[in-house]
Amino acid sequence: MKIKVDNISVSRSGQQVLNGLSFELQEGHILSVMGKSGCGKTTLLRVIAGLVTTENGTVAIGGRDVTEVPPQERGAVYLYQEPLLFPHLNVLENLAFGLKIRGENKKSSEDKAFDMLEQLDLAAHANKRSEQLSGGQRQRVAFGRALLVSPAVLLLDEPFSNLDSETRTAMQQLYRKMAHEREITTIFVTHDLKEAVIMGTRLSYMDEGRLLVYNDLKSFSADTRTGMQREIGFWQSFDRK
Amino acid sequence: MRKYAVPIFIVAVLILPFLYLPALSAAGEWKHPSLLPVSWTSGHWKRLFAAHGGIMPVVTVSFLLSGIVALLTTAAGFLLGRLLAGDPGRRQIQAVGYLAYAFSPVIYAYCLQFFFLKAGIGGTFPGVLIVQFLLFFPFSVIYFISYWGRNMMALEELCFTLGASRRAAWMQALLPVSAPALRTAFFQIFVFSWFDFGLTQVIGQGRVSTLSLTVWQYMAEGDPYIAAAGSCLLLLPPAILMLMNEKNIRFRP
Amino acid sequence: MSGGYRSLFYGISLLPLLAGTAYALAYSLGLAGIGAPGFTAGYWALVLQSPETWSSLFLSLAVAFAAVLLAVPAALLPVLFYSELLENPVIRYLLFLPVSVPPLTAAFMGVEWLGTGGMAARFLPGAAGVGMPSLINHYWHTGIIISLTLMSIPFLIILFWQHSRAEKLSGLVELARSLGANRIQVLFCVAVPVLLNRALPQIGLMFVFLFGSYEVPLLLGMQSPRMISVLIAQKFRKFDLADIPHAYVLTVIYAFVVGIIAWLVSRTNRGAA
Repeated sequence: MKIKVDNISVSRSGQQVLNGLSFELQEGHILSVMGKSGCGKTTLLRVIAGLVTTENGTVAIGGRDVTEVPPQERGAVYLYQEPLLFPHLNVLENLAFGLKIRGENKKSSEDKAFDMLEQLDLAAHANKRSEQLSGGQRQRVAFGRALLVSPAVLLLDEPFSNLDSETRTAMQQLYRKMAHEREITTIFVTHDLKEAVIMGTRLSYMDEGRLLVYNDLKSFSADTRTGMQREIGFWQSFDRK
Repeated sequence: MRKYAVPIFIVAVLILPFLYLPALSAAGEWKHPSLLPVSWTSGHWKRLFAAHGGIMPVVTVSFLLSGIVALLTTAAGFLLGRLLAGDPGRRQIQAVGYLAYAFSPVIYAYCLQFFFLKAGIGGTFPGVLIVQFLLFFPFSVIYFISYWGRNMMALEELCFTLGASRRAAWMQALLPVSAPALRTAFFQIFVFSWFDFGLTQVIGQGRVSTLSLTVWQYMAEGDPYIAAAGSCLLLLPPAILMLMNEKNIRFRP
Repeated sequence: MSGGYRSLFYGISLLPLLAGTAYALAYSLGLAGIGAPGFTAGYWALVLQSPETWSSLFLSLAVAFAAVLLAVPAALLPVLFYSELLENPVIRYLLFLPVSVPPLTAAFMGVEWLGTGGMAARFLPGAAGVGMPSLINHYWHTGIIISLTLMSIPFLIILFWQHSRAEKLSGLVELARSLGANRIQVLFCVAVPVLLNRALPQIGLMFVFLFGSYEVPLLLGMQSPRMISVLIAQKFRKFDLADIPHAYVLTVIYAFVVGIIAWLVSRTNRGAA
């Protein structure tokens, strides 16, 4: 679903974290958000999820103003850097959790969860507890759990930052494929330039509490703040040598 | 073996009560300078269960009291800990908690005695229950404020964004996830209450008989054998709880 | 909303203490209680002039200090030098088990073991014949200090063990070694400061508990001087009504001292007890 954020502001301890921030994202797009640490990327995701209240402005998902709507009813799933799995449930139960709390019966929710497990290539781990999984496997379960509830919007807060590069690449591909198939609108916060470009169908940079969304890769790379030119220069320096 | 002489000595001294008290409670005669009892008997245990109407009613009162206090204090601490976890005045809350938590129970009881008498609950079971709740409550809140850290709050938010109502999030995720922490707090407060002597002595005014007070009575009567048997009963539940929960023990000497 | 919950916490935790202390203060100034004479500083003057007050306060502080001073190194020892033993669940259980000894039982053990004809005397070579000096009601309060120290050691072992794991002490020790520190330097410049620094608030709390301990000094202490909790309790229990205001004066003094120590502890606090 389309996301429209209009003029939102959040301040904390006297400091303006988001300052009249506005942007729009069309349905099915993935918006990569880059920016320095502490610039408010996480706060932006939390405002859209309904976990932080904006001081003014509005947030609309699928044309519906959700500014005053509680997180449960927004259809926006927020995923953390750490794949938070429920330690008292096994992998299958973790996946089925979202469906069960929506009142779906045990059999049907576990069937759907098992299908998802197969798509995630985790069917062999259905009965394991979260501590028996690797970081990448845990992250896959967290994704699967979020996808199963068919969210209108997915909010991903540096979800791959703790993974090794191989697992990270595999996860990026998996997520792109699944998001594309399901046409899920996604906001993807990352510090990694390459990852931002691979994942995002739209690119943006956050600075001084505002979000600048670029029209294309060219304009993103032309902005010196994004670090793209520095990165290109670095690799080109090897050619010159 | 010599390498471990020091820790063996420490362990030996520390677990002495667990060896000595059962031995004394079953000793027929054990006078100076014998290192071991001269004879053995089950007489002291029989007396313990028979004297003053038997020890079982007292044990029951103790179990009831400690169980209810632990249940109420744990539940209250868990809820208030959650509500105060993000409070900007956490440091101040902890300072106040420490002050109340560290107060000598017997002096605390004397401070409140007047109010309990005025309210007509001095010398009653509910009175002792309330005074124990008041003293152990700060511990419970401080414990759960630390427990409701970043991870637990994130878990709660995750439930919400997955579509769980507050009730569903609590019933299906937060309470089951918190079961070990709740168990630890429950056991810990149960043990505090089980150990209590000063609060019950003052607020109970001799009309609420707990195991601690009864064992104290045996000690005061100068009957070490029956006092030892009573002490064994006093040691048993905490030792079992300790076995179930050794990694998470907090202290209150 | 949070302010309301904070008030609820203060209401349950602090209000009874404040109300109790306020009543104690009012009583000690002659403003409350049966047959209150009206405002007078007489009780305070008497109590503050009495050597019993000061010797009791000094004794309580000294005993608490001595017990902490003895228990801290005794608990550091197994954690620092025998950490491999603590990895064994059976040994860990044996070391942790004594926290399930109630103060009353610890006091009783003191009576049984530390008296002239007590068990300790029977085990000490030669003492059986000559007779070991009784450490109960001892001039230096040795029996109380020994019992409180032994009671504190298992708590501190658990505390230091938990902190050594949380701070990844073994990693820090290896790091110090790789930087060229010798065993003594590792011990006194890394391991001990790391553990003590982290455990300081809890050691402070332990000091407050020991300062106000009741059951052990009640059974093992001398008639005079008595530790503060025992002194207050005995004054309250006396049938002489004239002693009650004095007990309340001492209660206010005790609350004041604990308040200061708790405030100091909270300033050093970096974690929960």
